[in-house]
Amino acid sequence: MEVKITKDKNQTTAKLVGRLDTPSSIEVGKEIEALKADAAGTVVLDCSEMTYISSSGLRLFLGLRKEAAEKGGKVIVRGINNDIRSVFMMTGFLNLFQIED
Amino acid sequence: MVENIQLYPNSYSTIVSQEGQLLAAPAETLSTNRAVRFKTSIEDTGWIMTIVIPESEIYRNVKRTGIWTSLFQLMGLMFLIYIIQRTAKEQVKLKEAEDSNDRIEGELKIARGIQMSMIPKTFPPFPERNDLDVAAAMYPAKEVGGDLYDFYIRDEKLYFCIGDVSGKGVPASLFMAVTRSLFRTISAHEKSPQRIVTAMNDSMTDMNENDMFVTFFCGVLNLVTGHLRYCNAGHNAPLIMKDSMKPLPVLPNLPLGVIKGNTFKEQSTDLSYGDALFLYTDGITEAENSSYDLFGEERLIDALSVKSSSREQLESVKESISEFVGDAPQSDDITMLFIHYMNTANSGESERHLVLHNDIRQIPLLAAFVEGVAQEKKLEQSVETGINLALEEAVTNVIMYAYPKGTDGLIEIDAKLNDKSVEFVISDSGSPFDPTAVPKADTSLGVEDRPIGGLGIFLVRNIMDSVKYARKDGKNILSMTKNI
Repeated sequence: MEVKITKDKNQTTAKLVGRLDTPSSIEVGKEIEALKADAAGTVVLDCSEMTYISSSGLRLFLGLRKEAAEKGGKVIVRGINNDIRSVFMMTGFLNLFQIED
Repeated sequence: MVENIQLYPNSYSTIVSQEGQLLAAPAETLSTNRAVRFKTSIEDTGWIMTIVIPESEIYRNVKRTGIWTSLFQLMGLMFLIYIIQRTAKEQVKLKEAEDSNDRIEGELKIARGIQMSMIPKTFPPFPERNDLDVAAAMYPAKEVGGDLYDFYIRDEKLYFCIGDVSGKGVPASLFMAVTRSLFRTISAHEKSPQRIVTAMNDSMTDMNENDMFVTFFCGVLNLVTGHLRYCNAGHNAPLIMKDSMKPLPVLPNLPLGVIKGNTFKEQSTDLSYGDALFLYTDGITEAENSSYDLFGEERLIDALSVKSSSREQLESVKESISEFVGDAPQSDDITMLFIHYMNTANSGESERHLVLHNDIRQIPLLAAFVEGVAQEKKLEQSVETGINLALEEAVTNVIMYAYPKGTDGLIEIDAKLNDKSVEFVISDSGSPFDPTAVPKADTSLGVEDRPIGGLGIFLVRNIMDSVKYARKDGKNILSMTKNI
């Protein structure tokens, strides 16, 4: 799993590449946690090259989303594939995040 | 003196002495032997006197009356014979009338024996095979019937048929015999049901002067691959039992014996391990009880839903019909053929195993494991991803919580695959934990109220079709099945 972070003025984009399974979530956990610092603004999770997510990954996403909610920022999840979309659907995450193609 | 003794115009007398000397005789004596001679000895002299009378003289009158008597006698005799014959004929007729039922019944019994010997009736028919269980039964409404079935194996293919001749009784039974013979003869060198049916039809239309016909279903089941080719000629659709029981899709086509050169279309399907075919004649579905209700397909399917051997299935159907019909007489021939395909090589069953240590870094091994399963069962990517996710969640749970921190523990995963489902059994020797007892996550909650965890087991239960937990021999055993 690889996380590429790019920062603009009002927006931080984290591009997740690969599988976000349990060990990957542990591996990239700190980098995602670090995004909380930008949670007052807009954080974009670019998932266009993420192929898989398990509950550990969802947990990271939700932690970030809670932080944004507290700070008045927003989290955009962009480019999820159909398999991940169905996981988002099952877990109600479609309603928690702003989903963009 | 002797000359004067003349009883008939041409009779005469002679006297012979004791010494044989002729003492008295007429000048002319009869040379013929056809005369009656009366001899007597004259007392004291020892002479023998003979009166010779020609036969014709004696019988002259007798003959005359004799002719007439004979004539009358002959006439009387003829009359008597006539009377006797008439009486005898009437007696025979009476006796015949009395005996005809017995005689016909006797003959029908023999005919029934012959007819029954034409169809396979040793069950199980292939005791040496464990990939096939066939049972059949035929109950003619009269002594002989117009139904037929047949089956045999040639070159690892099961050739089978069922048929129903129009009409009942003796004419139908003769046509049945012809049909069965044609099936055997033609299928001996044809492996396409369509060609078998076409050739049978052409033969039957050639010789059919009584406008009889047969509804007929012919199938050829490849016992190695489970591929079933079939051709229907106007017969009712057999039932096919896969996950559920339903009529096999069949084209109606015309019955055999109707139109020479008729084109019959062939169809095919595939049977896998455990699938079965039930062929029958309409004597079953049209069996009537005393209130003229029909047995129908629904009752038939009910009777067949008892999961047991082919033979028991047929017995169940027969019992169900008898119960339904009650005292009403059987109106039509009843015939059924049950083919249960059980080739395990074709069951698609296989097993896979994976053993992991309670180390989270082992999780990616699951992806490769599931990929193998998916390739074998040709699963769609989304199904593969789902199974991977469910397995990861279940296994992660074990890794994180089953064993005390810092101790090594094993997690075993057994996968059982078949054509219908994939089952994964995850077992560990850690502390007892029933993930199915975890309350369901509330996915409708908003961001603030949403607990950060608890989604893992939720995902497992959402993705898999069945999740069961058991604690057995000091092990947590979690079985989860996905239908495919």
